[in-house]
Amino acid sequence: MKKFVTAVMLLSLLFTLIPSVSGAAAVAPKLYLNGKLLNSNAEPRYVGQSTLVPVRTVSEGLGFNVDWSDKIVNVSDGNNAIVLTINSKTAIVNDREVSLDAPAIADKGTTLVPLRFVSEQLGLNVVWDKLTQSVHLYQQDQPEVPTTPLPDPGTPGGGSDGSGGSPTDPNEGSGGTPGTTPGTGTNATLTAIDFDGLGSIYLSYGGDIGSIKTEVLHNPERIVFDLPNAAFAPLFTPGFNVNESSSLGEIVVDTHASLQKIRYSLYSDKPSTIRVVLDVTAETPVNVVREDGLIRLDVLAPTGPIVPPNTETPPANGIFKVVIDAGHGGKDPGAPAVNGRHEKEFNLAVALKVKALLDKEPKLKGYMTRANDTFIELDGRVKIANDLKADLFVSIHANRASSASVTGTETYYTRANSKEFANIMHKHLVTATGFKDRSVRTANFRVIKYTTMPAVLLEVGYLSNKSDTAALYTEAKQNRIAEEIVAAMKEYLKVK
Amino acid sequence: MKRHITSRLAIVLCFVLLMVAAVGCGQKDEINNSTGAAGDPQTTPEPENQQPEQQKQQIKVYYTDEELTGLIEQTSEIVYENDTEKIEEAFKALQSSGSDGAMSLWEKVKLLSAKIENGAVTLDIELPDEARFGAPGEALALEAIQKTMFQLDEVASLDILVAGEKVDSLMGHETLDHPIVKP
Repeated sequence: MKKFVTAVMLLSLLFTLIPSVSGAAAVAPKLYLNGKLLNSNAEPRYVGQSTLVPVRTVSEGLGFNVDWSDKIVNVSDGNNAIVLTINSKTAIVNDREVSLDAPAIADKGTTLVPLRFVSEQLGLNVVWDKLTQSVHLYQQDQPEVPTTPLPDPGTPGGGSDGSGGSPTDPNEGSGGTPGTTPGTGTNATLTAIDFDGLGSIYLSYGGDIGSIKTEVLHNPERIVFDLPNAAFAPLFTPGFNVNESSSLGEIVVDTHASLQKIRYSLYSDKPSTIRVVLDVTAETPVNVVREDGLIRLDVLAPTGPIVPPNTETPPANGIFKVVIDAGHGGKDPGAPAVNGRHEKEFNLAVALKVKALLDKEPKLKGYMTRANDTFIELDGRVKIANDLKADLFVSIHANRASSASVTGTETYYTRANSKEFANIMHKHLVTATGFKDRSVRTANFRVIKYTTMPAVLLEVGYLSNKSDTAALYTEAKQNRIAEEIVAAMKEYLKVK
Repeated sequence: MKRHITSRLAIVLCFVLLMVAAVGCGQKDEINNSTGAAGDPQTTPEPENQQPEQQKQQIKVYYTDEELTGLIEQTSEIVYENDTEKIEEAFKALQSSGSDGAMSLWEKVKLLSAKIENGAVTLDIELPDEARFGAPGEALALEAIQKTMFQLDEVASLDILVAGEKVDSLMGHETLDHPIVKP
């Protein structure tokens, strides 16, 4: 109750601040469903660590059935039903009691419910993007097809978790034949694993979990937690994105100084044991905090030297997937060049040259978002790369300023996991163009923000500048640029 | 009967006065033009005879420099008679060149129409070739228009349409929300 009062006080403080703020900190998080922005008249808001949304957003935006009376909110999707009571930290999910981080609240006639809880209970994947203060919800109705069905959670599926050594470890992996059916001696069911984007991992469960076995393993550096006599709940979130049939899942983290990935699996079924593995880049202390129905793992700052992530481990078949995105196209011509041509032409010409070079590389496979003059929305480009589970993404653009004197090459990235690739790419690109080095920069361009693999956007040169343009439209310069783009990919991926 | 009309007229007048008072409240920053109707004590209180009041406001307008290093804030005075005109004038200010070489990021954009309804601004624009920038220019242009529009108390959201269409991106790099909600 005290917490609630504080929250309300904080909220009222926020509200008094809002009118005087212009262009300052955004107070309400943005909501996206499957990549589309959800517009709502009433804003979502933060209460403590939780995002609360008006019930209208849940019903109109997310399409769930919602009805609410004085104190009670019912939310359902036809299969599952959630009953929330205003100001109560306990909810009822399909007749089962579940505890909440934040209760539903009523504020000035608006009823707000905890977004993550409601979404996850109804099968939506919730991803919090701290950088942009936005919440991404994904419908999981299509079952994920794993590219490499590996039963061992110790083997990364080709991500950037930095495990270079042999992943087989006698202490890890699947014991016996794990499945979704709970094994013998199950006293507890795990309903959710959440990462708050900062440093805390929340394991929510029903029932009893005895003492947790913790183990620190090296090479690669990781911390292992075994939850005895526990099984995954049927509605477990975020689900098993690595291998559904053997209950393997992972959450990739790129906002923490050390934590790279949270992996989980049903490690043993006799007795039923859940294993949670934290992949870290350096020795990192973790505090285990036990609460009723909740285990909190606080991942602190690393104490050991940070081992730089060993870029990419080769995927299972040894071939890296690389997506080349020729910017603009079709009805979107991009910037006009001083020679009367358009940016979309230049982008495609270079992208096709990169693709041709990649076709000669045995260890790289190139994919294009467009191979001719067609228009693709930005989200369409992102989807191509994410669906492929590509290893790298390169978006090719040319720049334009109002002033004709501006010249030079820029490389952009958004996410922390793309920085190293951006640095390597920029070095090569500047070599190829010979233009002024306008440095590696960060920006929230959509294609490099919402892709998940290391991604860069190249502004090769200025089409508003006469000499940049003259060079960029020659065959020889385009070939040089394509060569150096491929060289940068190979250097980053450590491919000879 | 006559009495009836008089009382009705009184009610209407009360209403008009209330409205004027309410409008006045919302526009504290604005200075009445002294040459306007306010200076004439003989003005009859009938609405159709009232001259629309010309108002002025100092606003901040955002430009960039030649090298697109960031936004430059400058002050400009806009003159308008109603909210729609205020939006149009703010947009025009954004399109004019600033002082000391500050460059407009919206100069070449054509404004087809502007409207404001309950705080929701809709700008329908045309984006000719010469109005298009690379990724960093687009980012600055979007930041400039948001900062310029959202400083106005009347504006709660901004929807930018290109030839009437809700495009996913203005210039092919940044997301264009429909509408962009004031932070």
